[in-house]
Amino acid sequence: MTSKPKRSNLLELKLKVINIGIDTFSEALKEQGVDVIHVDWIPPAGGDEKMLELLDRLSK
Amino acid sequence: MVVRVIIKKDTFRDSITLMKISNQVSGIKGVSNAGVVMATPLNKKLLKDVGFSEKEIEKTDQNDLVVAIEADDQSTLDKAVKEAEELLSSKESSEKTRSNPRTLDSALEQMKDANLVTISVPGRFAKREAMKALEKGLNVFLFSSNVSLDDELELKRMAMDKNLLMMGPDCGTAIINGVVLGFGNKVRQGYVGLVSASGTGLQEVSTLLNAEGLGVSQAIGTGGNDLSEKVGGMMMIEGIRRLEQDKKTRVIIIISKPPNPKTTQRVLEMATQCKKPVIVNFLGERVDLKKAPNCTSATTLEEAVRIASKLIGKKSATPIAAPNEEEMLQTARSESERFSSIQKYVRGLFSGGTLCYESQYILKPLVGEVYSNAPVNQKYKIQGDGPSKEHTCIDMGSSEFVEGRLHPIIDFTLRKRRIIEEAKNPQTAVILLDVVLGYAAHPNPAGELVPLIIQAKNSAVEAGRFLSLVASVVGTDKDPQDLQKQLVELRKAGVVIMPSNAQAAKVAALIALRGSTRRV
Amino acid sequence: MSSVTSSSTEEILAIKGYESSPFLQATSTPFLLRATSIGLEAQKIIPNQGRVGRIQGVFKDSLNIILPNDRVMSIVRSDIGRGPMSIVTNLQPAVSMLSIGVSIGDDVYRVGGSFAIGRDILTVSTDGAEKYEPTTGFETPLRFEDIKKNLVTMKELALTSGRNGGLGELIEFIDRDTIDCYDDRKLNIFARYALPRITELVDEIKNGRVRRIGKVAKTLIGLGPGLTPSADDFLSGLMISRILFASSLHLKKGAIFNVNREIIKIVRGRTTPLSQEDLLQAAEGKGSELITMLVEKLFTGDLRDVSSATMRVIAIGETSGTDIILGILLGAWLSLDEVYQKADG
Repeated sequence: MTSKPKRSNLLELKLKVINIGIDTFSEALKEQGVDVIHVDWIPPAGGDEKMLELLDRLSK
Repeated sequence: MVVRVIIKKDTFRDSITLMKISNQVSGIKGVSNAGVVMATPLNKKLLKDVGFSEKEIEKTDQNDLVVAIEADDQSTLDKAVKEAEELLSSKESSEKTRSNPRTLDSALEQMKDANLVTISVPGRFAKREAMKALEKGLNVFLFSSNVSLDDELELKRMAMDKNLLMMGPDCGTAIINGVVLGFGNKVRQGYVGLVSASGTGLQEVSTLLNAEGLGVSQAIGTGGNDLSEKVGGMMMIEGIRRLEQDKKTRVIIIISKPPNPKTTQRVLEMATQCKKPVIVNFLGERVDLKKAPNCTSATTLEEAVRIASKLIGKKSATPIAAPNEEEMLQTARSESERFSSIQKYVRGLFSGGTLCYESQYILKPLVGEVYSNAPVNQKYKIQGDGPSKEHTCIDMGSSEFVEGRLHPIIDFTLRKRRIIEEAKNPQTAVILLDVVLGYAAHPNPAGELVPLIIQAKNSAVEAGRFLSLVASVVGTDKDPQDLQKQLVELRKAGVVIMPSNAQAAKVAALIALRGSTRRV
Repeated sequence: MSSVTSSSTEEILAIKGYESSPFLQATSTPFLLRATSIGLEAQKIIPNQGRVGRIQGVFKDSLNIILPNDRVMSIVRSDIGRGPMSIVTNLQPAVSMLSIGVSIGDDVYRVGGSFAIGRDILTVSTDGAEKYEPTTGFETPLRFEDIKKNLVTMKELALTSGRNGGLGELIEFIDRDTIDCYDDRKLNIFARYALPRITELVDEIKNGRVRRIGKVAKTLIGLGPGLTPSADDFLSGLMISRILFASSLHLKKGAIFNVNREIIKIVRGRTTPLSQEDLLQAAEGKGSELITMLVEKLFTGDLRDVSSATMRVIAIGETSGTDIILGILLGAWLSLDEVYQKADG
């Protein structure tokens, strides 16, 4: 996945959205005819707090 | 009349889903009867009694789901059946949801040219998700709150390095390229650009501009803490810069509660250097802009709209441009005619923090100090979930209310409860409300409020009082809710509707003062 | 557009709930949850080892498991209250249980100190989980006048904020222990049908005609919309509140248990398994802690306590909460009236 070139400005692009979290927001975007992908988010490590801390430390 | 039943064997859906299907199918034009029930012996008997005697029903048992539809003609019936089937399968346990991606990376595999990530996960996890998005070169709209200022600063710095927009945390609203993100209203596209640290402030300004016949080019949300000393207005300043370059923007409005002096300084520096006119809307604060010929100060949301209108050259005599003092006084007198001798207090219950703040600013010179859980003057702070004290304005979207609940723009439960409480208090003269429509908001706020309001007003009359209600409605004719219907229903219930929050607050004050402009 | 089938390592790990990391192997690791509370009734009937049952329902905030003899137990998210047949886990409210990957029909086993669901889909460890047993009575510091005021508060709130579609429409017509509704045309079909039957039920209870109660119950159980039909929720509210009121007002409970048993004697085959379970528990005066809490606040709480507890019950299910409150209202008045009768000698 390449990162966007420094010059691109969201205000000049057609929105293509990824929504993470509340599905109402995905629905509202679909109602407006926007391309949106909804992510069924679950906390990483199954929400296991100790595991999450470990993962955070590992990824730093 | 034509009839069909859909049987789903051994199928359990949660009750909310069942009711949703029932309501949605019943609401289709031409459907005369629709019911969704579990096929218990008694429900089957009832279905038969009302005319659904299909053989398929007889073969079901209490583990089966029955959708019974009666319609005027075959094509409506087919449409209703199709919709019911879709609704039933869209909640089909794990099947459909497994086809949604679980992570940002897998979402990106499905949408390689994504350019924006909107995030509304719990605060604890928010920074992590936002960070991943920025690292991938994506702009971020972060609705989540409870993110530390340090984390916010880190996110915004990274965004700036990569020339990305980092809207939030605690950003409830934005309008980018005509698309509403989060909450927000469908407004005309036009020449006015907004940069706002306030969600409902952005909503009210955008809808008032729309009412004036103007339009919004872009509305960038910065999040509620952008103008804190630590973050220093980073996204506000970036927003001004981008709107300066944006070809469609002719006038810029920046909206926030008054920031601390350091941030004010930084933001004003940016604003004064800007080549386009900037309207500085720090609520309740008149800013000295003598040294900045391109800037004007507006102390209320509606004033900002008025100024924008003049700058763009609109000639209007709308209720925003010319609030009618005489009418307001008349309204105040007639509303307060039947007050008992002890009714005196204004009780404001807001879904928007900014509207709560603006109201306090309007009320104070007229009725005196106002208590609040989000007070303008810290000396008058009270607990949000405690009782009101004298004149009170409560921000019902504040954290003590939204723990484990939906935002008051969506869920009216707590506000309704509070209205009942305030109505019972014999010293309450007038209840002041904001009703916010738009995407992701409640589908029928008037439906939620009106029965309650009628009952409260009747109870007051029975007790020898008169309960006055004043509201402003944030919405446009193109919003998902039917704006005109909302207004009609509220008015029918006796609610005084004003065109802006500031005017609503003013009328509420005048009512409490029984139509005189001097404090009683 | 189904990249799920061409699963990358990342996707597998994500589905299983673990972030991608060079230090974790791509094994099939189940989603891990920890139980914070186990209902005492569940504890009594679930084996310590071996097969427990099968998943019957998967919802956003709960899983229903069908046990032998059509009993039902639930594994629920952290924002759902405790109950006699519930296991409350530490799953965050933002997460839908629909996304864990549990399917209807998945087997549930007890292994070691945990529940194992499906083939390595979900594991719920029960070490350290509290046993939850609903209270069966409270002391009554409040005077009758205040209890009655609380009942009025609960009723008013149910009227303004309750949900229609079930039997909630009858709440408006409650006058102490009767439902005074003369024009049933405005009622929805379930409320209209239930009204005379509820009146009959209350009459039989007041007159102690226990034998006829089963007959009337047959005309109510399974009636109404919802996964737990409205009339069932009404009966649960009625049964639980009468037991709890009796304990607290020091009334004899024997007669109430008899009535409750007549009601549930006929329950088999007439309603959904989950509702059947709720009714079985309610007959013993046991229910979700939100219901028990509301009844407690009617006895001991002030306006704010009662309001808050009422709103939390209203939020149960779709119309379930409102229907339960109808039952609590009638149950409460039946009990209070009995006390007054005693007082009058």
